[in-house]
Amino acid sequence: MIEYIGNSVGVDWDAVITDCVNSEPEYIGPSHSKADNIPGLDEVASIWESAGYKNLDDGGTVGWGMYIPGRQFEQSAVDTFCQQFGIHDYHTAWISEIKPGNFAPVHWDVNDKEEELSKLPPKVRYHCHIGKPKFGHVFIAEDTCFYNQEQGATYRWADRKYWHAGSNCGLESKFILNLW
Amino acid sequence: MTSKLIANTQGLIDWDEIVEICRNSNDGDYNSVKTVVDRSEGSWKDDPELLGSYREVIELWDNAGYDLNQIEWYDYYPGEHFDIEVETKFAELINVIPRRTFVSEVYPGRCVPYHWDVEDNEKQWLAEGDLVRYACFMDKPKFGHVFILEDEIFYNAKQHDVIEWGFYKDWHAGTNCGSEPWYLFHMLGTPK
Repeated sequence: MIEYIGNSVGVDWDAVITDCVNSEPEYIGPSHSKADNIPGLDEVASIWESAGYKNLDDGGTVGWGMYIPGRQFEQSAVDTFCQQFGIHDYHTAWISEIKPGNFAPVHWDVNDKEEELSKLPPKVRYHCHIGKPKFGHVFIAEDTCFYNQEQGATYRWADRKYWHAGSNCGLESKFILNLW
Repeated sequence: MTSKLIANTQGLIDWDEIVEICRNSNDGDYNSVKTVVDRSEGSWKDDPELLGSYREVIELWDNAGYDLNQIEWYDYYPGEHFDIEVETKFAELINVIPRRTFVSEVYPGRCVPYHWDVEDNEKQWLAEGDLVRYACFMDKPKFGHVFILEDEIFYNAKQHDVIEWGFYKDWHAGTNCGSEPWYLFHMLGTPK
């Protein structure tokens, strides 16, 4: 289940996006390849391979910028976000950027520590539409397509392992805060 | 202006069959920035405005940072790739004279970015009546198949649903972040 939990009003998301735009991303995803021995990765990689996806480096369209709190933007943005929504502990947080024409194809976020995580109860995940709504900014999670969401709109997923995807067929970069 | 849901082709057209034909075809009409510009050169002398319109859209994409080489899609036509009867039945259902009919195919990892459809024969068609644009969700809903029309988004739309656009030159886009090719039926027509 994915549930709307409110608008993240306490953070100046425009300023956070400016910080991201003015810095180099920590890295360009995806960070894993099929050769990595991580449970769950094969399933995602096989889907991409048979669908014909290729990474940006290989002349394709798969790629997204990863921005980390305390590195490319202020940690306080995430702290304020967590305070507002009563999130006391989290494993990881990042802002993803999808540039026009690029893709984060259908996937779930396979983590380096997937083996350990799989022994724990499902972890909830949050996503926040930190940019103003713009043409072509598409985010899909499970069977819902999030579009024209107001800036700051925040959703909680019952399980971080939901399948999701992002695409941008508009004219400006798309930014989303992710946290679980 | 927003679109309207105006009809449903259930029981009238077997879209699954058309999807299969397109999917198995090797001679779809390939479209890219290069082919669009090349084709429009033919009408350049007759109508310089046309080429300007194509270039205006492509310039938007270029300025947005698109890798123009990655923009591609295929079109399939009635009478050439699939039975002309499909066009006839559809036009009868919505009561129009068909002007341009095609099925678009967008592969995973491809998008047809923000644009409006420049029509080479627009002036001629307008001299003969109004123009109205329609789309039919011919394929079953699948993950990642997204159609955007002005400020509306269509996702998981019911197979067979037919929408009438607010205006035939509305800005639109299609993208596919799923795992299968995506098909959409289009008709530009003159209401009878």
